[in-house]
Amino acid sequence: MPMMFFASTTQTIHHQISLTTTLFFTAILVGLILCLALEEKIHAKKSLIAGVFAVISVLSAAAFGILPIGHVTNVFGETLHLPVFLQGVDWSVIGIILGSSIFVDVTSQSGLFTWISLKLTKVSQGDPRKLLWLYGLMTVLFSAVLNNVTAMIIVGSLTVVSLERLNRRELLLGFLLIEGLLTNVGGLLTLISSVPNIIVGTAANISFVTFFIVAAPYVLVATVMTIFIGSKQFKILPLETVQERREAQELMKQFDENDGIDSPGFFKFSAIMTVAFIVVIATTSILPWVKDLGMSFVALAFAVVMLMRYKSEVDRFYKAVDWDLLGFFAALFVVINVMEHARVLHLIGLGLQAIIALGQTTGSALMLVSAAGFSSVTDNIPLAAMLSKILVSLGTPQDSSLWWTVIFGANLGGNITPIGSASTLVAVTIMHKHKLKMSFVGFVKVAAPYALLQIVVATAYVLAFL
Amino acid sequence: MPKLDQFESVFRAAAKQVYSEPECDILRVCIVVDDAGLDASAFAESVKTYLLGLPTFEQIRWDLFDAADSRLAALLRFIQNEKPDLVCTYRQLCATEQDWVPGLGDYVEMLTQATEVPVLLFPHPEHASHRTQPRTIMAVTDHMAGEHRLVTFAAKITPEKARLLLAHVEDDAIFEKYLVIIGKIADIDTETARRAIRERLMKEARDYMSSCADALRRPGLDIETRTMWGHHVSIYQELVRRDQIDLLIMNTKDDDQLAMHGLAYPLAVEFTQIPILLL
Repeated sequence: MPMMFFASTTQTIHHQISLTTTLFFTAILVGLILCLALEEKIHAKKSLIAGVFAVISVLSAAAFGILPIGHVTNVFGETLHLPVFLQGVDWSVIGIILGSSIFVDVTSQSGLFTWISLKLTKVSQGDPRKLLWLYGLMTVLFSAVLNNVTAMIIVGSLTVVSLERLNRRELLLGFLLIEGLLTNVGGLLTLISSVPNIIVGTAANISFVTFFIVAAPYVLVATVMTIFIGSKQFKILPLETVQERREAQELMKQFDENDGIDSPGFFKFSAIMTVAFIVVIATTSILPWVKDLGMSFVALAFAVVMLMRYKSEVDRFYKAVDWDLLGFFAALFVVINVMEHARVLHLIGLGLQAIIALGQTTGSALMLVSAAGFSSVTDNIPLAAMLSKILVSLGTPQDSSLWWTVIFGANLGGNITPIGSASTLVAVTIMHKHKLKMSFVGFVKVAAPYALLQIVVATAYVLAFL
Repeated sequence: MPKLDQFESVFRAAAKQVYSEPECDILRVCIVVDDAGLDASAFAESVKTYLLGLPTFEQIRWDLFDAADSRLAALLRFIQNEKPDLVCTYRQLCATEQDWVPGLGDYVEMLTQATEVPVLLFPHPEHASHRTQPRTIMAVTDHMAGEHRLVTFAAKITPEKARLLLAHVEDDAIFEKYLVIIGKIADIDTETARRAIRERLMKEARDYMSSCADALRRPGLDIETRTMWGHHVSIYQELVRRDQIDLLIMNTKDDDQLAMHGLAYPLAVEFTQIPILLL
C-alpha cells in the first residue's frame, strides 16, 4: 500500500498499554459497532455515528497519551504536517471511491447504462424467464463495474418499469430479491466492485487481474445457482404460447433505448471512457508511472476527464457525491487507527490467531463464516478495515487464503439480512416503494437460504482452490 | 434516494406509447335523416361520395333511418340493436328551425353520448348539399399519445392523395395554472419544472405521432403532425383556416359524465361549416 512512513512505524514504537486502557478502547469500538448495527433505530447517518466515535476515540487517546503526536516524514526525508488524527485515513480508498462515484455519475448522464439495460431488456423479448437471467447477469456486471448500490438502483428501477409494461407485476418481488442477492455476488468480481474488496485487496496488495481471476469462477457458479433456484422458487416461467410471445415482443419493442441519449457524441465518448477506465484500473499495477500513483489516482483522473463535459456545472456532481459514505470511511479509519495504538486490534488479533490456529480447513472456514455472520448485522466496511489491519499486523502472506475468507465473508454476509449491505437495503426500499410487503424477518426467511448456500459454496471454493 | 426516482423516470420515459392498430373496420354505415322535405336519398348519395375513399367502401352495408317519424328513443334503440360501425347525419337533426341554437341538436348530442358508435356529422343539408371526398383531414386531441382509435379512424377515412394532420395542442392556461402552484413549492425548481414538463409533454406527443406515421405509411397517404401550445379553440381555428381542413376528427366520450368532454363540445359548436367525425 503506498502509504506514508508512519504506517510501518506505528507497529514498532507502541507505548506500553495497560489491559485496562485496551479494554476501555475496546468498549468504544463495541459501542461504534452496536450503533452502526442500530443505525435505523437511532435515525442517524453512518458518518455522524462514526464521527462521534472518532471524536471520542481521538480525545481519549490524546488523554491517555497513546497517539504518535509529531511530524511525519516521507521517503525523501521531508517533514509533512499532517494532523495525527488524519494519519490513519486510507486516502487511497477514499480516492478510489470518490473518483469512481463521480466517474459513474457523469457517465450515467450520457445514457450509456440505460442504453445497455434497455438493449438487454429487448433481447429478452418480454419472456420473464429470459428477463430474469438477463437482469441477473446485468446486476452482476453492473455491481462489478460500477458498484452494487448503483447496480441495484439501475436494474431494480428497470425491473419495475419492465414488469409493469409486461403486466407481470406479481413477479416483481422475486425479481427484486434475486437481484438484491446478486449485487453482493457481483460485488465480489473485481477489486473495485465493493469497498471491502478495495480495503482488503489494497492491504493484501492483490492486483486487479489476480482478484478477477480468483473471484470470477465463484461469481459465475453463485450467479447461475441463485438465478436457477430463484426462478424455481418464485415460479418465474417462460412464456408458453405463440400469442403470449408475440404480445410480449410488441410490448418490449415500445422501449426506446435511445430516448435518454441527448448527445450521441458524449454517449460514444462515455462508452470509450468506461472501457478505458476498466482497462487502466485492471493494468494499474503494470503501467509505468501510473503504478506508483495507484488506483485512486486513476479513478480521480478519469473523473476529472469526464467532468470536462460539464465544465460550467461540475458542482452538481459534487453535490451528488455520497458524502455520508466518504465521511463514514474517514471517521472509521480514524477510529481504527486509534484502536491500533490502543492495542485493541492486537487483542482481536489474538482471538483471530486462535481461529487460524485451528488449521487451514477449520480456521479458514470459521473465519469466513464469522466474517459473514458479523457483516450480516452490521456494516461490512469496519469489519474489512479491522480484519485487514489485523492480518497485516500478523504478517499474513499475500497469497494466503485468509484474505479471501474476509473478502467472501464480508460480501456474502450482506445477503443474510436486509441491513447487511446497502444494496439489499435498496432492494427492500424499492419493494416498499411499490407497496410490496417485506419485513426484516420476511427478508431473512427468504434470503437466508440463498445466502447460506452461497457461503457454503464460497467456503468450499476457498478451501479447495485457494 | 433521488437516484432511484431518477433512473425510474429515465426508464419510464423510454417506455413509449407506440401506435398499435385496433380493429375498427367500417363495414356498416347508418345514415340518419329527419325531414322528408329534404331529399334523403340525395343526402345519402352525398355521404357515399364523401366516404368513397374508405378501404372497405365496396363491402359497406348502408342503412337509411328516417328519424322524422321516430322518437329519439327509437333511434337510439335502432343504433344499439343494429350496431353500425358509423352513423352519418347532420347538425340540428330533428330540430325545427326555431329550435336552432348554437349547438348540435338534442338528437345528435344523445347519439354521441348514449351510443359507442362514431358519428360523422355534416353541416345541415340546407347549408351545404354538395359533397366531395375530403382532401385535408385533421385529428385533434389534447392528449395524443395512445390515441390508437382516433388515429386509426382518421387514417381509414383519409382517401388516397389526401393529407392527414395529427394535431396535439397543449392548453397553456392549464399549464400555467399548475406552474403557479409549483412556484409555491420550495422543493421543486420552478424553471426546471417549466422546461422539463414542456419538453416532455411535446416529446410524448411527437414520439407517438412519429410511430403512427411509421405504422400507417402507405402510398398516397401524406401524414403531417402538429404539436402546439396555446388556447385550444383558437389554435384549432387557426389550423383549420390555414390548412383548409375539410374534416375534423376528435374524441367526444367522457368516461365520467353523460356529456361531451371539455374540449369536444366547444370545437363541435365552433366548426359548423365542416364535417366532424365524433368518436
